[in-house]
Amino acid sequence: MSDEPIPPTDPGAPPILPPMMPPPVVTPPPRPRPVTPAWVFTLLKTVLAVLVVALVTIGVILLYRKVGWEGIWKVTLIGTCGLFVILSVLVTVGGALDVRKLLRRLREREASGD
Amino acid sequence: MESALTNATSQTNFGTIDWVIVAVYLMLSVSIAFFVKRYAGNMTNFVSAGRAVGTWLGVATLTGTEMGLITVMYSAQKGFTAGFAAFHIGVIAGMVALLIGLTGFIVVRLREHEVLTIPEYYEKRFGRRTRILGGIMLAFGGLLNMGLFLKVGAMFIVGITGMDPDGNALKIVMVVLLVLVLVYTVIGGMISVVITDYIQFVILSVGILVAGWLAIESVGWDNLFETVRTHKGEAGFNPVAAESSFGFEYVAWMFFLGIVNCALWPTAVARALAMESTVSLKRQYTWSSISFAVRMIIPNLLGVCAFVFVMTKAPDLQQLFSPVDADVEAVNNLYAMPIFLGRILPAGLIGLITAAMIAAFMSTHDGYLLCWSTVITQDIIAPLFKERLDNPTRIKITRVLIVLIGLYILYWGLFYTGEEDIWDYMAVTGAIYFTGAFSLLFGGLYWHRASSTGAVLALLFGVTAVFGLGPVQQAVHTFIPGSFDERNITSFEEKTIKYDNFEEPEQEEDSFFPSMVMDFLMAPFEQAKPWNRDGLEGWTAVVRGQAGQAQTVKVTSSWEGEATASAWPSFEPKAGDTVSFYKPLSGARVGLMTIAFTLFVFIFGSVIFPDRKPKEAANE
Repeated sequence: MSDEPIPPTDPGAPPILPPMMPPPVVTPPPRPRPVTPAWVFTLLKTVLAVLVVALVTIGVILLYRKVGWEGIWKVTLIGTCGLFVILSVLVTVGGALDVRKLLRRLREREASGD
Repeated sequence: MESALTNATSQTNFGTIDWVIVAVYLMLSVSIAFFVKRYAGNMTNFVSAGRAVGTWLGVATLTGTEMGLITVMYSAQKGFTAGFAAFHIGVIAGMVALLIGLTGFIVVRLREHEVLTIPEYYEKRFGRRTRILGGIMLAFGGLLNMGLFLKVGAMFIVGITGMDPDGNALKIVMVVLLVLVLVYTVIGGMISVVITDYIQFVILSVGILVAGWLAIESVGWDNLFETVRTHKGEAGFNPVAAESSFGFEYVAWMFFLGIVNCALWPTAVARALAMESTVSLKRQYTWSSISFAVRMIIPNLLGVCAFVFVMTKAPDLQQLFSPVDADVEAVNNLYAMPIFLGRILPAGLIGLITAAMIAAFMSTHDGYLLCWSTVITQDIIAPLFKERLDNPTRIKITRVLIVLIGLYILYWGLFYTGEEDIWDYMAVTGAIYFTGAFSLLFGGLYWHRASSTGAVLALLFGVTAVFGLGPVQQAVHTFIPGSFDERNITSFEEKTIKYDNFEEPEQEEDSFFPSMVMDFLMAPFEQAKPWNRDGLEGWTAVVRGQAGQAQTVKVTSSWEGEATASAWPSFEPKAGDTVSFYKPLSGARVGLMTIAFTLFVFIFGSVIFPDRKPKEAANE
């Protein structure tokens, strides 16, 4: 079957286009099964997290042996306040950018009628 | 004593400029709600800000919601009563949040299900009846939990601004605060909540750090530790010291509460579900772990500073909060921190701090109001209508519910009379929901054999946490194992009641196994020996008058047939009245028992009654 348009019998009529063939259905190849199952990574992360906490706990115990509860709370107070100052700066700057991004997304969704 | 409190609050530095700062801030918050109103048209936007919240905004909104004025107040109260030992609560909370941020425990899997609320997940995993029951339990526990927020917030405003606490000021402040929060939550939904949370985070973080700095400066760094050491000894620093008000049981309870606050508490989970991706979510929790620690530690510090200030620099306040005369009732120590700040902060700065605290108040209220109203709409009403409700109707119902919940917290704040620390009240009321929810979420997300019958049983048995509340224990105290039934009072002299003697029972020979089982079951309940000298010391006596009136007092000393209390505040007992005794169970103990109990029934129900058709895979 030719792809040429079929000439119309009526000279004024537009040419009749041949029927379009639907594009062939291509099934995507199955995703390769990961060699390492996901739970292994979860387990590793959990072990890592527990290790971090364990290390912190060991550090606290060593600190306790040296300076007692009073010293621990002094270090805790200064440490957490210092970290909170850093966090506050990051959130103030990053949060302002995130608010702008959020409003832009909502405007786009509103414009597209979603 | 009441006029002494009025006198104490009136010595604040709060002035006109401070009122202006507070007013400007409040107008800014309300105008944001009107600005974002047009985006709150569908339920996903209204409840989850269109699931488009970035990491830093997520940290701001999580911190803004979880660091409320109520948090500042109850943490300051803990610092005031327990000293630096209270810091352990914040440290544990931060460590648990960090663990959850690194592992994504519960929250990541929940986010992957793309649900709006926790009970919505219950339906996906366990079916509709579990969703409705879960929604009811969640709303019940959650509403009780936030019942005192408004009152405590208003107490702060009254204390720091110098209003008259004896008049109607407290009620008026409660109403004004409530109206403000209702307006911008009803109008803007989660979008306005998220944006105002951001502004509130900025003001709050500056305010709380400056307040902490000035508080230390006012009492002196060395004096701070020295005074706590003098007045509280080892218990002022060591949370597991023998004479500490905490102990290992309490620390274990705080660890579980740390998990709850991050991964189970719906207001925090709502923030997690609003994140744009699971990667952002994990980052949000990892960074927020600092906030989870600081939100307790700095207010604890303010409370400790207030204690040191009262003890070393303000004799008038010492008479108020720690009277020498046992007959004089101490004023509610929740007022200590705001009165202290009112005296040490200069004009101008005190307005900024108050605005920061009102920011904290509003950011918590908006999140909570939106959360509980959404749960009732999405998880109780909508499923009952078989999901036939359209979006505009759901938003309308949610808005009506926000107003109704607001009216309820106004009522509850005025009428609840429990005497536990606010933090312990919140832990116990929250436990009604989260003890069951822990089993359902943990089991549902990580255990294939979890069944809907087990889920329903766990939810129902979670209600037993209500027995951790003081007024509830008092009402049912004769059923608490180890308590003593009513006995007749024969006479009353000098703060001592006399009644029919207790007699030591004869020892019965039990066989080994039943005796061991009984010992195990009775381990959480203290058994008194009232026939011994001071056998009832520290127990609670409930005296019931012949006209039906009742009062509870703590026994300071006892003997076979008599018990003495330091004061009888309501009425003097007389012959013919009755007295019964019980040892109140701590909220921590009831909470831990409830967790163990709900987990047991959940596993038992799931194994004995498995679902016929397996629901979706737990870890897809």
